[in-house]
Amino acid sequence: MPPRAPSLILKEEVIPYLTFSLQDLLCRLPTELKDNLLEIRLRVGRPVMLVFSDMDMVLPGSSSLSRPEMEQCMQLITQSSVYAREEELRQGFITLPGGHRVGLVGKAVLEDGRIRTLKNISSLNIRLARQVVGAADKVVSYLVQDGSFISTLLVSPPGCGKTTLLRDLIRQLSSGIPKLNLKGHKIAVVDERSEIAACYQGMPQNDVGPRTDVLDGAKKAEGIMLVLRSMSPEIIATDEIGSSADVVALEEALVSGVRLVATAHGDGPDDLQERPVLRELLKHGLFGRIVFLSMAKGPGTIEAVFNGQDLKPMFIEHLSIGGGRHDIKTSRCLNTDICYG
Amino acid sequence: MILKLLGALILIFATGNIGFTMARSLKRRVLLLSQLQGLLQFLVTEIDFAVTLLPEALIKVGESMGPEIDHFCQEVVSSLQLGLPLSIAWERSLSTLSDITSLSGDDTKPLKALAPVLGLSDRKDQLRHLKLAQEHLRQREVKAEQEANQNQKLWCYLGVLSGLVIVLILV
Repeated sequence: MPPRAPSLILKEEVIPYLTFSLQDLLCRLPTELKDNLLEIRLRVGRPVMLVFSDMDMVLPGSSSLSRPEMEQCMQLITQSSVYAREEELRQGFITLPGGHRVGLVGKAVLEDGRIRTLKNISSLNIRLARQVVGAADKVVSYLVQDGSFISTLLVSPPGCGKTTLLRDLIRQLSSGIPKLNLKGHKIAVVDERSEIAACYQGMPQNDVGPRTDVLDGAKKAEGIMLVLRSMSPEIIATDEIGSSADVVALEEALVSGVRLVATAHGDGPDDLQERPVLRELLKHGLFGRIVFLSMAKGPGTIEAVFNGQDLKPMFIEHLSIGGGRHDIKTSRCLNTDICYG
Repeated sequence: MILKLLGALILIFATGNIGFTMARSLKRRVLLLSQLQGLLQFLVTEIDFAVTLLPEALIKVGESMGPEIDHFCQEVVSSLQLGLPLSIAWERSLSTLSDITSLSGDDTKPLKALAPVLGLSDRKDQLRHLKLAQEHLRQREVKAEQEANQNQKLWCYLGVLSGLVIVLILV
């Protein structure tokens, strides 16, 4: 099936969840804008904003959003079933079919000091999902040695394409890569924030490969132990390692002979020693490869790949993983094989 | 003479039929009220245990209930698909339901009270509202049953006898 144009995805999967007045205005946007749209932000009493990768603008023709309009959007998004979205409301985001994510805030209702639910929703942020198939093409050869995959950590500041890269890496490892003589692996994805597979009612909305099992919404540390027991994975994938409990669980997995692929927050190679969690991860030698991403050439620029054992760079180059919403030129690309997009 | 007899028989049959239809609609009303309670009980289960989305739950429940309830559920779901808010879809479909069945406007009141709250709050709150509506429907059912018992025979006799009276007057 050929990939659908982003404007078509917007029309089919996102616009039906908005009020009639907004539906009309969004449909009338020029296709070029629709294709590059990243976020739609709705705020009660303020005009609707559209966010693109390099700018934002007020939705042409829209006046400030009224409370009933917001309530109608909420009804459409929750499909008149707030009770079924309780857990997601507590977390502050709802996943739509197609993997699009709606972040929301309003008045928090507390119980025992924890957020029980949100009411009087005042802001919605609809983030359009866009899976970049082939995002990992350029790095994957560095992560495979003699036909076997080496545990990998992806490190970058937010918004640089860590999760996009992770998702495609999962897809490729799950399907197998004949070119690198890599067979398909059983992968368990612990998707705490539903960002990797973007599950809607338990069904992954993104292509995560044929041998991938997704545990959606569980805490990472607990989830890693669960999939380890229940799914006999060869590789465990997870997003945003942040706490020492996560590190302990990853160690446990490694002892069981499972390889890992994960992401963590960090600004660059210098952070490896500075951030306690990263330092911890390296100290235990959990990861054989570390991939750094940055915004240097737009979102999704691969800065460098490090060897996790001796912390020596194997490769330093600015490469775009592709799929950025505006053209990202790849410069200084020596090997034409790994340069595209 | 034969013609007269035939006419008289047709007349008695007609009025009798009207009486029986009225009697049957009283019984039907009781049945519908109990089915509506069944609908709410089903929603309680779907919301509490299965956490099914409301449109899906309505489609499921419709299939397992009588044709009137099925029609009602389908109407709600198709209005939702058109983008109408649930409160409006629910109220509209309820008034259609009371139009095409023997349910009175008062009978659907407990369900109408659900319109502004259904699907809009957390599970606990939903269950509370559904249970309350169920209780109100049960009271209406008891009332309807009493009325049916009292009036059913009355309508049957009334139908046949009024036919006889008209025949006697005409003869």
